[in-house]
Amino acid sequence: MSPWSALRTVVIFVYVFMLGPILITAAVSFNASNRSQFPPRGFSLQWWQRAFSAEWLDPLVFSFKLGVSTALISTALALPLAFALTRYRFPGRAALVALTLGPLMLPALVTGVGLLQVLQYAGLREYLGFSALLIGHVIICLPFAVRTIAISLQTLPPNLELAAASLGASRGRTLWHVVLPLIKTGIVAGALFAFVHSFTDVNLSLFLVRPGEQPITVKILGFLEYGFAPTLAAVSVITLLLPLGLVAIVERVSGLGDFIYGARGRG
Amino acid sequence: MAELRLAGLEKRYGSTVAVVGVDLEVREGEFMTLLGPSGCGKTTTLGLIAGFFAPTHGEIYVDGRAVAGLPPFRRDIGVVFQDYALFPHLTAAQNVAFGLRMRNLPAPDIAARVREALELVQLSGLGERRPLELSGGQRQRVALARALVIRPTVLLLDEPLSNLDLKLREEMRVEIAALQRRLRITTVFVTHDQGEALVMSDRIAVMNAGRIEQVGAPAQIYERPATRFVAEFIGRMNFYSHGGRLIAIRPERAKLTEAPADGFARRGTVKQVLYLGATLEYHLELEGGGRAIVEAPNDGAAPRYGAGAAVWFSAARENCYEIPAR
Repeated sequence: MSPWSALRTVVIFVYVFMLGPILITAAVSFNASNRSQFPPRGFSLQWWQRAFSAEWLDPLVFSFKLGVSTALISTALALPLAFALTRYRFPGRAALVALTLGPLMLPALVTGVGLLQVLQYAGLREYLGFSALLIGHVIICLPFAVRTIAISLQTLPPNLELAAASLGASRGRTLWHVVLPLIKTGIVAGALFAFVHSFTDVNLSLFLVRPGEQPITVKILGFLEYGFAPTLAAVSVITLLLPLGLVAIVERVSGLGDFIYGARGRG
Repeated sequence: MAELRLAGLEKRYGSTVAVVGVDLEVREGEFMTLLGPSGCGKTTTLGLIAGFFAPTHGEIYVDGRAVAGLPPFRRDIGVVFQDYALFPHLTAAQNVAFGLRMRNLPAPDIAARVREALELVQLSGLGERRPLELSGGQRQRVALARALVIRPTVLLLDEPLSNLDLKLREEMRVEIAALQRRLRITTVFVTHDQGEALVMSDRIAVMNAGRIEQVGAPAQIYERPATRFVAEFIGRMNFYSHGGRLIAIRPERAKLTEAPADGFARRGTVKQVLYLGATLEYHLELEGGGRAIVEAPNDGAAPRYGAGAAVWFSAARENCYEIPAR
């Protein structure tokens, strides 16, 4: 077998295992009966109609808001952190690295339990729901944003900032006119990773919800206790398409693929 | 245009000394070269003048005004970097305009001066290109235009030719030197290339181990080196101890003769002859130890010798130079 046909076989398998379940789920959502059969029996849109009811739309919108807020806050925190970690040597730097990147190694489940206990001991139970979820999501999404921004800072040509300074640009104007435009894709990528990670998280969210304030993933998990209905298939497809669509749009606008796959020469 | 003065400049990194006791005066409109091997402190000195870091001791005066305490963006000093450091997200014209925008000039003035600067470096018509769409030589010109357009008091050039291929490098040498003379802009040029230094400079400051060894016009540096280091670093040199004094003879100032010359003469044997076209290079072993190199013009007049020939290595008195004791 030539290397190319071997590669092709691997790629086909990856696609089958990745797309297969998704396509099956999508097909199931069009069942005419209320049983999750594959191949679907008959055709109806009734499950999709239910998926678009408030019962499902509310947690979906909740997840979206949570994801966007998480992405914005993580990115805002990640920017100065990435600067500090890539540019300066200072006492406590190692500790800061561990704190920022630690959650990447830790199971989100543990972070979730920990956060829940802290809130309980501190008598802050009333913050469960959006506020607690936001804090938890920022903690677990921050590493993604810091990493991507740090990488784009490190690939910045070394003398650009000195050149800007010699041309009369203060630190602030150098940041605004030179550094930020050049790490823009890194920032966007970081924010996007944070959003997707937040939107798809269930491990951490499980512990921090309250009635009426739960993300779509937790809602789906809860619903699964009663069995897998075609409604769930429809909801899953929506939950999948939302972040995918967002990634596609951002990719189009900012050339994200270039950043991820390392193509140079784009702003 | 301004005069630049470095007084007792010193830069330490912890216990490492990068530059120490550097005193240097660069006259108004002068082309001064800092020449030395890598790690000699020349680029550090440039960074200190530009204000990229602060000196440990000493002061920098531009037109008599102390500037060592000023941040780089308040110094009005133009810098051309070795890697050009063009802003990749901006076009050539926007790169050149950058310094003017930072000075908040009105847009029409900026446009006019950018056009003028691009013309000066013969890049008219390429203003809309991005750095990646330009050749190495063109990037170099953009960098030069960007540094000149702000009308800096002093222009600093950090090995700007080292990334160009040989032919282009030789062209740019002449071009930059001509441009500098036309604009009469006080310039400090950093290089490790002695050829560049000799061709381009009004004066050269030879640096070694963080110190300036000698400052002088190219001919002075070459013909009257103040230290053994300078003598060895620029061109090649034959050295001999003679009564406790150090005698230096350039290979092109020595001769191979049948009889000893009135001046310096040692008997020797030709070990190797290198045919270089315009010159012949003889490598000798001298009687009583020691080696010598003689560069003879291939002018048809000088006698030729083959390997193994017994000859006199001779130099007239005026071609023997005594390195001053320190």
